[in-house]
Amino acid sequence: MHELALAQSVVTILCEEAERHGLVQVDAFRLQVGELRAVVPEMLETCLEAVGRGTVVEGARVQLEIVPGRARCGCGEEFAVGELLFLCPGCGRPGGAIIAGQELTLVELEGTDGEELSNENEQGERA
Amino acid sequence: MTRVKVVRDILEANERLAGENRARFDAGRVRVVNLMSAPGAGKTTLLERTISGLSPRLRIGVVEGDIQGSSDAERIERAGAVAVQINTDGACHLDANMVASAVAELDLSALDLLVIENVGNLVCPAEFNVGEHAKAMILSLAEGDDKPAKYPLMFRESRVLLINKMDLAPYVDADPDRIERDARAINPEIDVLRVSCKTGDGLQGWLGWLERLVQG
Repeated sequence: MHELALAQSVVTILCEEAERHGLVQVDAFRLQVGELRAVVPEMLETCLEAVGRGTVVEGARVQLEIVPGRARCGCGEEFAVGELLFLCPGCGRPGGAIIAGQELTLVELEGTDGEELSNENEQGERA
Repeated sequence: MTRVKVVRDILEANERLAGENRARFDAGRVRVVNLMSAPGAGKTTLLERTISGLSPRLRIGVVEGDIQGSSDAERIERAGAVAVQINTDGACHLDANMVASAVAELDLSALDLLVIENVGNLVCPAEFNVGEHAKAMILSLAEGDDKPAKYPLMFRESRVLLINKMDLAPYVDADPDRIERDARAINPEIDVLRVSCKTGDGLQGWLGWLERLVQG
């Protein structure tokens, strides 16, 4: 269940970014999660929802982008890996360097700032 | 609608705190090992053996991570080392912040070696650096020889693997050669030591490994 700890970190970062950019609400955000990180996407989403409750992140849409694993062997071969136990398909040796698939990154967020929200409310009142 | 590009590592807060822990360890000239395994693999027993094998040549402290209870810290103190207990109250691993508050209770300059005994769990502890100089893990033979393939991250992150409970080899269908082969396929640099904390077999290799870490 490292998903809960990851969700807490994500929400902390989102709250910091929201404050820095004057956002009163986070509407959506995009996370890159490496395939090799053993993160269960549904569980992470559930934890994000739970941890985000009562913060500016509450109700935000989550876009999870799973980054496929890739490794490069000392022989120069580059290949896809779905798990950490792998051999180079070129030379058969273990121990290739992982070059993708270990990401845990917040890449983008969308939100509403205080001014936009009050404009929206005014429009709502007029309508 | 405001769109913000951020690109921030989700674990950055933990990494930053781990870096601060590491600076404190280095300032106190203490070497730190993060010891990980599944529950029941023998972490605390290994530490009891380690303390009796290395004291008083090395001054040893232990941070005990458990979800609940303080029985392990009591065992460590009876064995003759300084111990601080962390209760995670449900969290399945230690993080850098928890370790920072435990370490604040220790006089680091009075220690040569600090072992952080992580919560028993073969998955999550490997994700969170706590500022250690090396990660060490135990797999007990009875857990099965398929574990490196099933839980590879900890094997990839660890600098040394102890295959414990080798005295059970005649009674269990687990092949230590397979464990070693798969562990090296995941992490070719890993040191593999076969030990029995019950009989003491192989423990000299582990004590030597720790002494080299402290001297290095």
